[in-house]
Amino acid sequence: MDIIHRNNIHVIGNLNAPSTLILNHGFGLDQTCFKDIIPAFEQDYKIVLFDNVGGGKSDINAFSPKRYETINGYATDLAEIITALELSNINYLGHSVSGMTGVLTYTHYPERFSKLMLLGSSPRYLNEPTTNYVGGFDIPTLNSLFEAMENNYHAWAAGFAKAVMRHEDKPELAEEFARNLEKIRQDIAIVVAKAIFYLDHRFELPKIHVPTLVMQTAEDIAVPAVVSEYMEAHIPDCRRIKIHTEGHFPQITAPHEVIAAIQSFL
Amino acid sequence: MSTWVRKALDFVNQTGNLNKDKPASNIWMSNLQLVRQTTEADIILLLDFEDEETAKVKFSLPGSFNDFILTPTPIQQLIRRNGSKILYWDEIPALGYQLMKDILKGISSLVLIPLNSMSTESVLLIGWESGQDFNSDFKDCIETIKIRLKETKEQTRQLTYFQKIAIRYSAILHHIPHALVFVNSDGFTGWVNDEAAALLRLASPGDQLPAILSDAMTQLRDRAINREEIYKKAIRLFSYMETVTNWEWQMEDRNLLVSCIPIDMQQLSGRLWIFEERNK
Repeated sequence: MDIIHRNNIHVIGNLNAPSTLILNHGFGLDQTCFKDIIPAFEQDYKIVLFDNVGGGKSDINAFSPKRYETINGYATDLAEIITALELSNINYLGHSVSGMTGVLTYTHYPERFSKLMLLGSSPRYLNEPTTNYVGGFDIPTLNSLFEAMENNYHAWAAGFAKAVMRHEDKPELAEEFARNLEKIRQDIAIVVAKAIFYLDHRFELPKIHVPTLVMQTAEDIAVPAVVSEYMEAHIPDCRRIKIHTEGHFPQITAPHEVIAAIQSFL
Repeated sequence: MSTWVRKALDFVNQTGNLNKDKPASNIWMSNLQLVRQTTEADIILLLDFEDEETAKVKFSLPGSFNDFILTPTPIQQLIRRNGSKILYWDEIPALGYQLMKDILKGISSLVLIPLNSMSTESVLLIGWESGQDFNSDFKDCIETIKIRLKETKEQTRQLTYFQKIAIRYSAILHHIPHALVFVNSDGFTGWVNDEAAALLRLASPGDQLPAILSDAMTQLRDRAINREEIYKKAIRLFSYMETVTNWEWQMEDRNLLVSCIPIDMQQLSGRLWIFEERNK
């Protein structure tokens, strides 16, 4: 297995830097979503970029519905990338679902990580009434979401993109995200969406023993603010920062705020 | 009798009776706990090779690696190179990738047991932090464990398969709009679906004692306006084991279109009653 080809890996920035910065994109995006973030860190960090299998320019033939039916498959990919590139002293930034992918990988290889940064991430999207946990979604909502993905993927992509991007004053942002979603094969998108929305890794949070930054935006329909408060309460050494922008993609809509938050943390 | 021979016998005894009421996952978990207890191992990993990209940790003791995903190729190649034999290592070999090395951190002795069957490919890894003496009695014990686990694997595979079939057909039969009643000719068992339980005023659907079914069917027939005609036809029906369709049972508020079909198969015989409602 050629991991470099499978994940379209790029190592850029200061290749002799003692610290590594891994930037891991979320569902429906690829490594280019960090293009406005990278310049602020390329002098001081070796920066590792890649596309998760099923998205971007990753090897589509490597997609397996079994491997990626949970995010454990993506955590293994990340672990394989880290070991193949012999990375250590890692500062990890995971957007959306890739925040939890990083947490899972960290729990198996804690010695390789220095810091974790979770941007719009959630340990569980589904509400759990028995414990009063609010993740933002209930079963009927998720069933409708998957039904819409199955019945008319293109219409779903357009609607979902608008809802999660917000920024109605810049419709081109949602349009571009919708185009990215449409590039993903429908069956792959559904498998991955189910892996994301049914995940539950709340019990991993107390196992994090490196400094962790949780970044939360306003009006993020994928991750309500209460989820970031939950994470702050359950991660031992956690700092929570509000990014002053709406929607689920602050690295695109407010890159300077994200850069400032990361710089203050690192 | 050596300790390992006694341990092997204990293992066979304790895993001999498959509890069919338990889910396959629970059966495996208790069997692997027994493997750990028998071998006094520090780590047990059961890996299922699910496809070319996916080897999933189905069970791990301790549980921290449950659901962990590995790329299967290196370990599959190792198994094939060694002709699917059990492999014993006094020190951890290069298993082809860092991830496995990381999982087995701190382990100094390892046994790899291929558990392939016709339909699935799995491997059991048993590891010890301290050095393990792989003498012939120990190897015989491991061979016995392998044979028993392969049997368990096939039994649980079949159990899961039949449980899935039972769930599927139960869902279909309970959601069909007709009332279905099956009376087994062994005189001991019967079965009704949801509609039939409601029609026959039974407490619940599913398995029923024939005496209760017979009583409920008689009561239904007695509620019919044309019960005399039904009774006469029923006598003929039971005498000749024939198929009857479009048999009308006239009730106060509705008509029932009844079919009675004899079932005569190698492992099952009886009568299937189908009641279809017709509005008056």
